Amino acid sequence: MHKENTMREEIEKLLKQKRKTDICKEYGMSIEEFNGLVRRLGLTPLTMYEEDDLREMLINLLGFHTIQDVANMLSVNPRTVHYYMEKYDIDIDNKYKVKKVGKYYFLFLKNKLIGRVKEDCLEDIDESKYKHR
Amino acid sequence: MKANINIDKLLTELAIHRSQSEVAKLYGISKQALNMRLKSLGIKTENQHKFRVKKVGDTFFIFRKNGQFIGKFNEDCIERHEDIVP
Repeated sequence: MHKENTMREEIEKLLKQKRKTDICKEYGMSIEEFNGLVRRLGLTPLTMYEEDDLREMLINLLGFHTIQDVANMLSVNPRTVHYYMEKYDIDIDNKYKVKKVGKYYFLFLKNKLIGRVKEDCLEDIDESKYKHR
Repeated sequence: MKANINIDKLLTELAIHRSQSEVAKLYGISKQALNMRLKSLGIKTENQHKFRVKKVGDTFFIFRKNGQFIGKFNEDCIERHEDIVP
């Protein structure tokens, strides 16, 4: 048990520092073996993130990609993505629409005006992190 | 259209009504007169079919229909409808 705890801590530390593929290369393991070990220890490759960072990362990734794509990008099962979406209360809704009038984006849901956002309030995103991987 | 128009009200009317003709009718002027006024105020309109919106958690992502990302905003940034025009 003690050995397992040490191993869990060690792997958690490694996951925070390195990519999964690099860890596998360094320790001569296949991805499948590593995933099995990570699962057996009750870790996921997403364990390496701080909670707030993980939530923000998931939101940004899901803004651009499907759940399946995000799962592939993070080397986890889509069920894991669903688990974290539920944990962090992240839902996806494609029913909103916008109309731009002047400097404002007017937001509608089922043809009902919700409100507006000035174009200056829109944030850009670090493309390299979320758009193309 | 009177000179001292309420711009916020006009923007909201342009957003809510499907066509500029309807807004022109509201103001009791021709569509051409409305267009001239909008041009002088620098107000352009882009309709819903030009954009795609995806809400993820509390964040809205706005894209052009060709997939080009425009920007994202948090739902806290929305000026609610009831607060726009008193």
